[in-house]
Formats: sequence, C-alpha cells, structure tokens
Amino acid sequence: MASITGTPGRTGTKGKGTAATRGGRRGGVLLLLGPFFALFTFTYIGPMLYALWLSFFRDRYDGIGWDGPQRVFAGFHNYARALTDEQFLQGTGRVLLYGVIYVPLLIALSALFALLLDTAITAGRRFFQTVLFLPHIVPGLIAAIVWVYLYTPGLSPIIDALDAIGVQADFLNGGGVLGSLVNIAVWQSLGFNVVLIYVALQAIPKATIEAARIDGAGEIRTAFSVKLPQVFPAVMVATLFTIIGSLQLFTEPQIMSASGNSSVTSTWTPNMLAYSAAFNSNDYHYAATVSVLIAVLAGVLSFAVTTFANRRSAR
Amino acid sequence: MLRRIVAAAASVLMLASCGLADGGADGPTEITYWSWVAGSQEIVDRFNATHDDIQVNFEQIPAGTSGGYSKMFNAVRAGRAPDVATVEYPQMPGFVTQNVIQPITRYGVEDLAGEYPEWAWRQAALGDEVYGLPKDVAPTVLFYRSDLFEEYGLQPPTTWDEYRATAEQLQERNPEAAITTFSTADAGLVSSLAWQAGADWFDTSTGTWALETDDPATTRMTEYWDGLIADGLVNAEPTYAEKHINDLNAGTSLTLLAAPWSAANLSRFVPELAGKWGVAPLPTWDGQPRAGNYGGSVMTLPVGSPHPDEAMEFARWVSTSPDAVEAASTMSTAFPANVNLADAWGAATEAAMPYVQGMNLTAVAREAALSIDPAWEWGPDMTNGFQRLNDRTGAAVGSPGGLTAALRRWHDDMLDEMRQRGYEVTG
Repeated sequence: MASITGTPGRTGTKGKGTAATRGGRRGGVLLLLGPFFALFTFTYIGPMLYALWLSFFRDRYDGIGWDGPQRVFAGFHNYARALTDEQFLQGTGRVLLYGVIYVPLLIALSALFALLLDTAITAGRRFFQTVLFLPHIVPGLIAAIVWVYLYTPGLSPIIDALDAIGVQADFLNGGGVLGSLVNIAVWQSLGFNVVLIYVALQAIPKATIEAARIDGAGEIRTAFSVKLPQVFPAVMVATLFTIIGSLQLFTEPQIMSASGNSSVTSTWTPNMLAYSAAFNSNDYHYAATVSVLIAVLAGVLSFAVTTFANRRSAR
Repeated sequence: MLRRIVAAAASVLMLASCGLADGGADGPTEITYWSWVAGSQEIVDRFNATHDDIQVNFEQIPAGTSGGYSKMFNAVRAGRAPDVATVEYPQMPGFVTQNVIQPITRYGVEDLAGEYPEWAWRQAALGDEVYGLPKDVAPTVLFYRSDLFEEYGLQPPTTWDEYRATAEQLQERNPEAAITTFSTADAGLVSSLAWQAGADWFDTSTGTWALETDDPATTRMTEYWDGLIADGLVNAEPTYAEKHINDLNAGTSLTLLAAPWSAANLSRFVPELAGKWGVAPLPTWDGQPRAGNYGGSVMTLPVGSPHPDEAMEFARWVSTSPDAVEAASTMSTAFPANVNLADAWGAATEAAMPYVQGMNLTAVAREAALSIDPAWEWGPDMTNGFQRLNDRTGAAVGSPGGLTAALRRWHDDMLDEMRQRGYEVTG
C-alpha cells in the first residue's frame, strides 16, 4: 500500500480552514445537499410511507356492491393475502431463481471483460469498450421489443437458422423463458458493469502491477491475485445493483406477456403483480402491499450482500 | 415500483387538469369526452358542427384495458373526472361498484330502452338504476373467404358440427389450410362463445356474487374447441399477429370468429383481400339463431362529471342519432347498439368503406344483435378477469383439454379474487 502515499497530487492544503469558513462550509453543504434530501423525501420516503399506510386498508362491499365500497382497516390481511397468493409466491420464486442465474453470470462476465480490456492492446480497447457499452444506451423497453421479435417463431431469423440445423428452440415458453430473460438482461447490462469494474481497475496504481510482474506473476496470475482483490468494492457495488434490479424484473417479461406468444403471464413477477393489481384491478391496497414486500426483500438481500462484503474487506 | 405508481398518478392528474376550462357565461358550455373508440373524433366534430350551445372537447385516451380505465378511475378519485366517457360492457358492473360511473336514471332515459336489444340495455342497467346508454354492440358473426369457399366447394356452415365437417373437408382439399385461427389469448372471444352456447357465468340474482364456468353449455363449447385444436383443424395462435396476418393473406386461415368491428380491422391488416370476404351468422349449437357479444361500448357519466346535463345530451345524441353513426363510419365498423339505426349504418359504412361492400354485413349483424341472450352478466372486475383468463388460456390452449381446464382454473382464480377484494361471494 506504500505506493498510494507516493501518488503525486494528493498532498494539498487540507486542514487550513478557520472556524468561520468551516461554518460557511456547513451552510454550503446544507445548500448543496438540501435539495437532494427535499426531493428524496418528497419522491421516495413520502410515497413509501403512503404505500405502507395503504397496505393496511382494504375495500368491503355490501352484497353485490352496487352502493360502492367502504374502506376498512385491514390489519395484516393484505400481507396474509400476498403470502398465500400463488401468483406472488411463484413470482417471487421466479425472480429469485432468475437472480441466482443472472447475478453471478453477469458479475463474472463483467469482471472477465473488464480484466480483458485492462490487458488488451490500446487499439482494440476503445473499440470493444464502445461495442460492449452500446446495448446499455438502448432503452430497456426497445431492447425488450427487439429481443421478443428475435424470440418469436415465424419472425425470428435466429429460430429459422436454428431450425435449418435441426434445433427446435422455444424462447418464449416453459423453461426457455428464464434463459431468454437472462440473455436480454446480460446483453443490456454487461457494458455498464464492465465500465464500472474497468474504471476501478484503472485506479490500481501502475506500481502495484509492476511489482507483481517483477515478482514473476503472469497476466492471469496478476489478474486474479492482484487486480481482482483490489476492485472487490466495485464488484460488490455491481452485485448489489444487479440483485436489486433482478428483484424488480418487469419490462422484459411484460413485453413477452403482451406479445401473446408466450407462457409468461401478466403476473409473472411480483412487480408485474403489483402493476396488474394497481392498473387492471384498481386495487391500490394490494399493489402497495406487494410493493412493500418487494422492498423488504430487496432490503434484506442488500443487507446480506453488504454485510458479506464488509466482512470480506475487513479480513 | 412506487415511483412508477406515483409518476403514473401524477401524469393522470396533469392530463386531467387540461381541457376542463369552461366557456364564458354566454358562450357554449364546453364538455370533455374521454374515449379511445375509433371514430370518436369524427362523432365529436359532427356534434360540434350541428350544436351551438354545447361544444365537446374530445380527448383520446389509451384503450380501456391498456390504461384507459385506470386513468378514468384515478381521475374520478382525484375529482378531475371528464364529463362523459365510454366504458365497455364487461367493465360496467365494476365501474358501478367502484363508484366510477353514476346512475343516469333521473334523465328519463328509460324511454330509450326500446331502442336497443334487450340484452344491451340490461348490461347498462344494473341494480335498480341505469348507468349508461349503449353506443355500439358486437354480435358475433362468421367472416369467411367466399372466394376460397367456392374454390374448395364449401358452404358456410350453420351449426358447429357442420363447421367441424367443413374444416375436415377443407384439409382434404388443402392440407396446409385451417378453417380458422383460434386465439390463444382472447378472453372476450371465449366469453362470447360461452355466451352464445347458453352459459351464464356470473350471477347476481341471489344478492351475492356467484360464478359458474363448468356448466354443460360452457363445457360443450370448450371441449369442442379443444378437439378442433387437438386434431389440427384450427391454428391455435394469437389473432391479428404477424403469423395470423400471413395465414390470412396466404389463404391458409379461411374464417374468422368475428364481430362487425372486425371488418375495419381486416381492411387495415389485409387490404388485399377486399371483396373476398362473406359474412354469415356464427354457427350455432342447435341450428337456431344465437349470437354472443364480443365488444362494444356504453356512454357513461363519470362520478363528478362537471356538466352532467350537457354530457347527457351529448351521450343521448351519440347513442341515438343517425348523424353520429354516419360520422363514425369512415373510421370504424362498430355496429350501432340502437338497432333502428342499422340501415343508416349499413348505407354509411358501405359508402365510406368499400371493403365491406357485398358482405351482407348489415342484415347478418342486425339479426345477430337481436338473438343474444339477455341473461348474461359480467363480474365486478373484468379488466383483471380478462387478463387472468388470457393468462390461463395462453398457458393451456393447445395442450389436451387445455381450454376446458383453463376455464375451471379461472373460475377458482375469480372466486378467490372477488373474496379478497371484499365482495360477498356464494360460490
């Protein structure tokens, strides 16, 4: 670690401020962070509390209900409903399974490509960086539509080509669906995560790499034993984002479901269930309940990942 | 997710707040009309040109089940309701129980009951009140390729047994061809076929909700289609999708289970087939005329409608005036709910849309509209109900007994959902 202190440009004019400027700085911090917290409260904390509040109520009708609903306090009824709802449980199972396949795959590929970029010759580097990043620029919705087109029998050149060599592929039904979704997500997110890890790799002091080389480590050994441990925090951040993202799986299966060619239902993931409850059934109480449960699950998983990461870096 | 909901709610508020401005004290009253039904703009233009005291602002909203109903629901909750809006028949009970639309009985509309087929009126009159004026209806009919039927020496079948026999003859003459494409995810069609068969899924007569989908009529219908699909006599695929359009053009999907509105669809999707379609009554189970309903909409007053009197005048005009029917005919072939306007509709539609000429659509549709069973009722949450039915059929149709099984599962889904939503359900 001695090399870090040797990096030029880190010895500045720290610690020279007077009490007055420190007070001014505090005002500045408030001025700069204030708008963020105001917006954060208004657009994030507020709606979350509102959703939580909604989730404890339900409608009740007399008989057929021609006289309209009465809103009544529901206690944990909506939570009990969700936790016994086949759609919610299956949907949660699906996104967890999806995450188990997608997260390690994406992170491993991202790390691999980042390491390759870091070692590749400069000429090719810029080209591959751009190519890898391009899919990330395509809006998720458009990407989903394009991929569903490529997955649809009778339209897809890929299926035609596979057919020609005698392979029957069904990307939109049964067990194939999960793989199809993982494929879209990897295609879409790989570039971003590669850049995330690649930037961290760039921050590794050259001296460290040189030291490894002088000690006789080859490219592969350097990559896995020197570079990768140094970018561990970046890899963890990428993992965290990816886990939360995979719990919120929505756009791609929604497009698949809407295509009418697929066994993906309108409530295939918890997010789709919440969407359907809110916008097909006008049942905001249940939609809020499902949303709160997704948030809790994401919170628990995030906590587990950060705890693991902290323990790992403390070692 | 939360952010998405808030954003959607915010955009609904913003959209709703536009266009609610009143005219001056002496000028015409301006009212807002929300719909997505084809031809609405043309109807509004005609109304505005012929009326001085009321001017209608038409606002195109997304199709009901693609967000339009959600928009209406939220607008009413937010106190920003439009003056008048269209609702489809299946959504009427849910919009009444959820307090989205209001009774219009006090406007003396009961005098109009005789203008519409009994079933259409009963779908708009729920509990002890009338909640809307039927605008258009969609009696099921059979579109068939008259040119290919002639080429293969086939006759339009009048019973479902004959329909199957026709399908078999067709395959003997052209193994590539199927008698029709049966949608794997069209809850509206499946319900209309059950309706035609004599089923009555939902029932409110006991004062609580009841639902039955394994009655003999429904089962006969589902087993029939499961059989046709299993024997490869029909294609089980999404309709109006790329594959279906290709099959229509190639002459390998020869009939369409349809309603009058389908003519405008066909003219858009397969314009090359102009003059090659005939229309016949949908085959029936016993040879007696009987249709189901497969679409259509009702003019309704949302709760909180700012100008209910003017809105009612407009709604009444849309639902009963030959002018309105004629204005829409350039854009739509939806059949008027007011069957007395059928001839005016037929003349206007044939003039505006050469595609429907020579189909004999008017006479067949009129007959069909008058042969629909008035007993059929819809459930309290059909936007979700149709979605769930599409989920069930999409997953099951094509496998042995798929449609039959899908409807039984859907029955359990719906009962559970109605209970969870707080309705009283008996079974």
